Amino acid sequence: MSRALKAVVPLFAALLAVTGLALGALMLGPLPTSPAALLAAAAGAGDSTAQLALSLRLPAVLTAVVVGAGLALAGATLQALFRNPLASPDLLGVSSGAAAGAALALLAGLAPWAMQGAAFLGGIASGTLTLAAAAAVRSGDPRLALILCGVVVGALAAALLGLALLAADPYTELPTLTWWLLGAFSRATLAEAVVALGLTSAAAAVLLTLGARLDALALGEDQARALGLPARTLRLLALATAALATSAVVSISGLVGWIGLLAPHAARLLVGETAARLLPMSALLGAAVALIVGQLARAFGPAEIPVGLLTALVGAPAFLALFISRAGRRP
Amino acid sequence: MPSRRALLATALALGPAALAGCQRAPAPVRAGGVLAAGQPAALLIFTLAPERLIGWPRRPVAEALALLSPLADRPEVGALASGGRPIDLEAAAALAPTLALDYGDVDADSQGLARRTRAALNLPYQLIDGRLALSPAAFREAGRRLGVELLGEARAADAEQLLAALPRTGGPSFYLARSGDGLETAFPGALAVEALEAGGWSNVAVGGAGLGRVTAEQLAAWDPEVIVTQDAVFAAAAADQPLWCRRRSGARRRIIVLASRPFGWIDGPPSVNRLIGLAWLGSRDPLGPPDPALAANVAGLHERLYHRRPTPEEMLGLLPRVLA
Repeated sequence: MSRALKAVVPLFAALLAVTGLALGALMLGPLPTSPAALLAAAAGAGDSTAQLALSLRLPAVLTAVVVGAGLALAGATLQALFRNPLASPDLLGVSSGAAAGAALALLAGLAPWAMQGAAFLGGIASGTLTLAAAAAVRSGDPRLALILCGVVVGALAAALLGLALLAADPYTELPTLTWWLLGAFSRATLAEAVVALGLTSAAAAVLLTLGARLDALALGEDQARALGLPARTLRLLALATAALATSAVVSISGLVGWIGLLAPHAARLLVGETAARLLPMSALLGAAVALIVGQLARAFGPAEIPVGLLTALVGAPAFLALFISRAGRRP
Repeated sequence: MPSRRALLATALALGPAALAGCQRAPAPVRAGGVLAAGQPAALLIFTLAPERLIGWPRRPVAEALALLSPLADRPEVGALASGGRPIDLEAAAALAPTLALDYGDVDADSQGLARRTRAALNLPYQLIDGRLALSPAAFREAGRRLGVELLGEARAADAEQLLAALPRTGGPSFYLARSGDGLETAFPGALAVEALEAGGWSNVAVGGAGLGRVTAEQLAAWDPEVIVTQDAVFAAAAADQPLWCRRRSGARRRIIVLASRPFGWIDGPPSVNRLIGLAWLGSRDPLGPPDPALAANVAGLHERLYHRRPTPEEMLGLLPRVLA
């Protein structure tokens, strides 16, 4: 098998797995309908139950794919840039900012779509603030400055969120806010999921275009500069793109942890460190994990289990297993 | 000799203030401020002895206050129980309450809270079972503790009458839509659906407990006859969406919008406000347009529970709307 083929096979297998999982998720649900009826509904025919099922399942499946892929892309990018396997999309304070934005919108009595818009803006604002604050730090390790600024901005956003939780009506707003924070793939409409898909695809395109330059950045800024690359600009572009992807997906799903941390690690085991292969593989594995978790969330009775809880329950032991197995391989 | 009910009716006609004036000197607790453990207890105290409510665990918003007696204009002091900004015990002591009252769950947690508060503040702490079916007993117990037995007895009689008038069976299947997107609901037995279930309505949301989120597809599979909500913004959005306004057969589904101000008719908080929901459920046709008898009943209950009779214009905004 040629080297190029060897590189493509795992990606193709992951793509097949995601497609299979997505089709399976489209076929399964509490509404009694058959795959044939769903296919007919997809073609614009079929009975009303199948059409209803398709119209309800499609946004949830698309949301799971976009959220899983977006978080994994952001996680893989940040892990490379920070040369730190513990880097995750939360690092820039984006998730906390998005949560604070959603909470403030809820307290202001805005409609659900506006709540998602506010979450997106909150995430972007937090990410921008982190990047701007880190840029203002002129001395020391810039990566350390970014991490610390991310922690500070995240803490500020978390404090805002805490205030919002305190002010929320315990019988109406508080449960809504709690559910939002715990994450779900079922709350976005198809239009919202498509918007998030567009933003995430744009982010993926930017990151894949950066490709080899990301690999150079992963070696460190000095090495990147030695190769003639504008290291600071590239790093800022990659970070802003990761923040955009995170904001876009968190705004439609709420807080979903672990995928952005776990999927890049698993992808690295399969295709190595090269960004051109690592990024798409991370996105595919992230989408696969999200689809599985999304189905699990609906598998235990009518009450939906928040996906943020499930990703933590599944992600923490899986991460530990990966970590132990990788450590075991060391000479 | 006039019957006890006739005496009560006369007393009711004279109004709560007159009733309060007929009370004997409060025996169990000396007169003074009462600390509500949570919003349900605050509303119970406000109904029976508004002048003794030290403050709200969560102050009603301006739109709600406008529908209440000026006696409701009290500060927010926080809550002892869950569901609101926690009150600082020292701040609670500084308010010099003579009684703390909790109305709701009487489980081990609530009893533990009662013990801890009693010990910390050296204060009598009354825990009253908040189940809707026990509303009459709750009014009597609270009336006794607040030193307004006759008023407690009157409200207990109201509650008994409303509970007795409920059809108990034959109601439609329903789904309670909470939150901005309607996908948060209450499972059978939850406080939020106690009134509807007591009225013989059948909750389609089986398989869970308390409050929970469900998927849109699960709702479609349940295919309830009626959607009930207290969220007017959600109802306006749902009225055009097939998921909410159409049944699987293609038939139109009714969406019932209940008032949430000053307090909800079936929930928010789970307290004596739910008696108004019982009046609606026991009315001639809860699924039809509101009839004058219901309007009169609701206005009377507002006056007896909230010490203010809504104006005719306000009544228009308070009565249920059926979107069909």
